[in-house]
Amino acid sequence: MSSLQQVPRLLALVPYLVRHPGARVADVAVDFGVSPEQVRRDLHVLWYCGVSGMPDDLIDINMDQVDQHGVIHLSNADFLSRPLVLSPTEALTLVVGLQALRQVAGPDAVGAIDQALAKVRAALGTRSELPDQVVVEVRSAADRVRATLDEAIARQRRIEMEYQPDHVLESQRRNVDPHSVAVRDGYAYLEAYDLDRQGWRSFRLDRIVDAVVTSIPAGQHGAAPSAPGRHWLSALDDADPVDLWLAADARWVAEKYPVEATRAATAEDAASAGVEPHPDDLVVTMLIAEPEWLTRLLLRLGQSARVLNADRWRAETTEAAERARRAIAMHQRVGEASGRVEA
Amino acid sequence: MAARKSERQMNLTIVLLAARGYLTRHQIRRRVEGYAGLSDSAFERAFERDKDDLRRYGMEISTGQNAEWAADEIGYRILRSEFELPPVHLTAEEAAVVGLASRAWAAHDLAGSTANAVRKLSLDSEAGSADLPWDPVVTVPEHVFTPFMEAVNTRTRIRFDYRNSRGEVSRRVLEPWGLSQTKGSWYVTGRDVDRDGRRTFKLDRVIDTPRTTGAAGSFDLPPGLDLAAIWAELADQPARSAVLALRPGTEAVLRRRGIDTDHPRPDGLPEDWTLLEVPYSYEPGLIGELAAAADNVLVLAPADLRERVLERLTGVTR
Repeated sequence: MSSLQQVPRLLALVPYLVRHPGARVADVAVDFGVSPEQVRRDLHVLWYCGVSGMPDDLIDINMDQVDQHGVIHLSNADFLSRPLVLSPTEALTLVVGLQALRQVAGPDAVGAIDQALAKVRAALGTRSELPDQVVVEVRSAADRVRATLDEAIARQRRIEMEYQPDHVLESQRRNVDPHSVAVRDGYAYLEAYDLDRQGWRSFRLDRIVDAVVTSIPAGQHGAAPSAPGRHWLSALDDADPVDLWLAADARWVAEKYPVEATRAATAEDAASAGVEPHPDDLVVTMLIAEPEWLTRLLLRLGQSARVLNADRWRAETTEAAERARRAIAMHQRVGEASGRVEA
Repeated sequence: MAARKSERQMNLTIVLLAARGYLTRHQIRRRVEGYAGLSDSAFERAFERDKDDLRRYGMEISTGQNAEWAADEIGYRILRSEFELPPVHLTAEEAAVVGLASRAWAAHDLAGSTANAVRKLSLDSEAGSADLPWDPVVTVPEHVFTPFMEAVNTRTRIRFDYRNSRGEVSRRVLEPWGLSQTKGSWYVTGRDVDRDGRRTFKLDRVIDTPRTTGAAGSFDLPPGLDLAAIWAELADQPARSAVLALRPGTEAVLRRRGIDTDHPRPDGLPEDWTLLEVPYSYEPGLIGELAAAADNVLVLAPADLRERVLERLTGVTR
């Protein structure tokens, strides 16, 4: 643990301990997000801090109480009984969290969030412009949909929603019992029990076209699973790997989607993909749970992507090519371009 | 080692805060235990670094002279009025949302900073309920985000290697003005020193760990800078519109973004297909989206968009 992390914590810890005489080590650890061992190490650093040569004014901690009872009594800390102003990092991390929350919380909570943001900004004094310098934008749902989700969660009601998953063509009617709204990687998700699929599912808020609260009480479905991490695809049972050659202009795929492995493309890869070798080409391995998703990815990428393990994904590559041919034929039949449309 | 440095910096803080007037370097060296036993040059180095760190923690270190000093003597102190956080009172509702927001950094190193902020703010506030159904986790590119944020905070230039979307690598020196996350990706915007102009970089494409260079406070934000306006360009701020026809019952995402259009219906378009105008700003993204929709969508205008979608689809048939 470097001093850059420890000293700011010590400066927050002293006024906290002055305010809470007899605080328990375990509670302090939770409140500061560190281990109980780290709290003990912090106390050993604080013990006897002060001005050299003035022993009566050194910070005193009853270490016997800490060691035997896990309880903290600290004295002689008058110089530090008020907290240091927020550091830029402390303020910004909190502001970013509040910004993210503001875009997923129900409309009723927005007032309290804005008040809190204003108070943090005021506390920054001369650095009050800082909260404008780091900004998160969360892909979320319209206020109307968020209000509906909020009401359904609060009243524990089932909702009926129109949802557009990214791997199927048509939007779907889904009946779900909502649990919570989470943000991951800049997107908001509804965590809910899906009555049609009989299981817990995540739904992207920006794909919820519409939602209504029903009069049906939400059912008991046990504990919601903890939020899946970045590699959510690998958690799916029926996922199969695809080895995808990507030209340099399709490298973004490796940044945007969860990939199992990434490497530079070799001459053999280029030959297998039927292209000229280029040093910036990539080969990625991704797990595919929905074949339709792969078909649409191939259509999206055009000549910049090729499936290397082609035998496994023959149906999907063939389907993509057929859809492309049909689309080209349709454009030749109908509606020759009729000029630019101005915004 | 870290513990000794932490203790020394705590002692320096207390000594500067307890001082009734300015303290000379000589006085500071005697009163801060961690400086005992250091050579003159080692003390100078440690003291300079400690001052930089204290400023990074948010402290203002005043420099000045006491009345009786010689003209060339410089002293240091921390004024209590500048050190202490004025009492901040959060209502129960505000404390509840602040508590939730503090979970945003989850297991990231920066989680500790948010926890400190919340503990400081909680001293004069009401207790907030933790029972709210929102979980706003912020994800950042590890190893890259924190140096950029520090550079923004301290107004320090930062140097990094960058791979652009075509795969070309170049070294950049940036005066970073701010950071923004949109559609899940983080961007840094600032003045590119070598190219002397405003540039925005995607943090995912920064190679290795960026390094700050030069002194803190070495640049100012341009007067009238409007970062929100710059970042609005990054998000999907529509600049143009496409005219599309959609097969019935398909592509709800495109359909939802569509607005009514008075564009003439082309001959031969089946009656149950919907004619829509879809605003867009980022053409490569829309081309991919329309290609993925394949024969569910007929692209009518603009002509160059239509051509590029057909080119993309031709690439799939080869």
